[in-house]
Amino acid sequence: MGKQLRTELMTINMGPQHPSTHGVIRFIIKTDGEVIHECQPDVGYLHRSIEKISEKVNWQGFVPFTDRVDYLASMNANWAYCFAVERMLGTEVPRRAEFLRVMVGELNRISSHLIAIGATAMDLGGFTPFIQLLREREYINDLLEMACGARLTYNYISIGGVNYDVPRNWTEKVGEFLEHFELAMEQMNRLISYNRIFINRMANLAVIPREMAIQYNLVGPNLRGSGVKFDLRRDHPYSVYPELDFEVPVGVGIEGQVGDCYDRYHVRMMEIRESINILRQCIKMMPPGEIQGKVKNVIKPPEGTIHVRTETPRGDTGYLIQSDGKTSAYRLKIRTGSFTAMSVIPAVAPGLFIADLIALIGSLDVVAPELDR
Amino acid sequence: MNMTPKRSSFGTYLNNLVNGVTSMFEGMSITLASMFFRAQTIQYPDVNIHSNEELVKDYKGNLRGMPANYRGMLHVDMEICTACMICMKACPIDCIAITNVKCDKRTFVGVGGKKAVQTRAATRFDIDLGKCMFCGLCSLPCPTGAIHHTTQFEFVPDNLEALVYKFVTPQEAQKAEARAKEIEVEEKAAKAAKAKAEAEAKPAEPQPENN
Repeated sequence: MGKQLRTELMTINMGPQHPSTHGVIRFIIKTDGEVIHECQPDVGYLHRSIEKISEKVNWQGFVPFTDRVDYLASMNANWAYCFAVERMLGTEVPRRAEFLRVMVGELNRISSHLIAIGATAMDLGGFTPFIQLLREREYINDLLEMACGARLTYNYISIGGVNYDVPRNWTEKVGEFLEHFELAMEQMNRLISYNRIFINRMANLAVIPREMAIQYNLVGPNLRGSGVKFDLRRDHPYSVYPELDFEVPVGVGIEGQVGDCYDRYHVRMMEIRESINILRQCIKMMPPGEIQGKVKNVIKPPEGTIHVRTETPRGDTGYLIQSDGKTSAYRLKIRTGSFTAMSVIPAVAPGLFIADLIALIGSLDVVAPELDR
Repeated sequence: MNMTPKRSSFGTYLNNLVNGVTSMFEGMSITLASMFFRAQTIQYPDVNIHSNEELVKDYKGNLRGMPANYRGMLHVDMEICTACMICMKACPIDCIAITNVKCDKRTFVGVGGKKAVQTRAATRFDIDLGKCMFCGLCSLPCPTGAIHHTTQFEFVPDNLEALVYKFVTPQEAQKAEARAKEIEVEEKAAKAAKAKAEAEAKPAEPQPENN
């Protein structure tokens, strides 16, 4: 007597306060038992009107606000904004300042990827890697603190150069750290990268094919995880990157298919290796000299619009700035990698388990403040 | 999404089992080894972290104490402040409030070795550290190095008003204002005297030319 039971999809809210969403994001999930039928991200809980603030404060005064756009990689956020304003002004940045920018930017990229990897591992139930990676991040924080006096919101890169010169033995200290860090990364590989449980959990999960990644405008490690070899540092070079020798790692489906969660994780691991490589070259090439270009006290960029893109740990960060020749921006738009990474979740999530969604969010490395600005 | 393994047999099952168990022991060995490493955690309130030299007395790890350029609480050295208000204009969130009056001209050498001329004195120099975001934009353009960050970061009071730090006392402000009034009177007198002298000198000069 097969009496048909009426079944319906259950709507579940994941977040806004959820430990694995890395900030305040809400996912409205329609589930069929344990399987996700539909997943709609709901963003905007961390909106702080940073773009509007840029119209109220002067050009230099906006730099500390860019720290808050992406707090895990403030140096790169500073850099993107200052680079855009410099392009408007036509300012020449001294060579030493450029090398310092690359060095602090790459150190910050490492520390940001450490959080991304550690948080992914923690969301999947491995607490040890997170603690171990945060310990490594502390050493980077110490180095950046020596350079600028802050540990999270640096405000180090300024329009025209950098704000402070580094202490005399700073580059040697960075070299010492890299020696130690390479061994630590080897240990991390043993702990998570080669761990069969972790690999089976991440491989073949939430595959984003190459075409889909391009269609959804993924950027940075998420795009490269899908096998697209695109890195702004190499393809649209800025600063002193053309002089530096580095590889652009891409996902090759090392444990499963191209574009699965493990590939995105693996690309981040490889990028840390490349950052170490870049830092080693910078230590050798670091020239002496000025750290601040010629910039007036009151900046008034000429009228016009500019869009400048830089490669930050979460991908292509673009600053679209419209100036009307006054002491603050007429309009400023920030384009971040996390926002487009969110848009791919509704397309990939159907068919995943709820626990796998957490792995997907972790592998996309979404940071909530960058999402909402 | 195809989650099932390609070849499902007892052999692969055993293989997976062995792999899983060995990688678990691999992780455990790292955890065990780190038990014998030097502890890196700084037991913060028990040790002094304000400088590296202080820290190494009670701490054996590899982390460093705070550097001298740490951007902590703001402090203003009123001895060398020229009340030029550059810091006030540089602050993006307007947490510095300055008013100034005229004072006796004074020349001195600031922190950076730059010569500074003071013509105005502050009657009010308030910093609202409740608003401050410690970005350092005020200390960078300071011509004398009067406003600077200290390594002090423990300054939590029990009410918000106590976070507004006043660097000019009411007595000093009154003194400066009184002196400003005197200067104004003196200047007026000097101006009047000068005008008088010019007025006296002027008609005397053209006369010889007219002749």
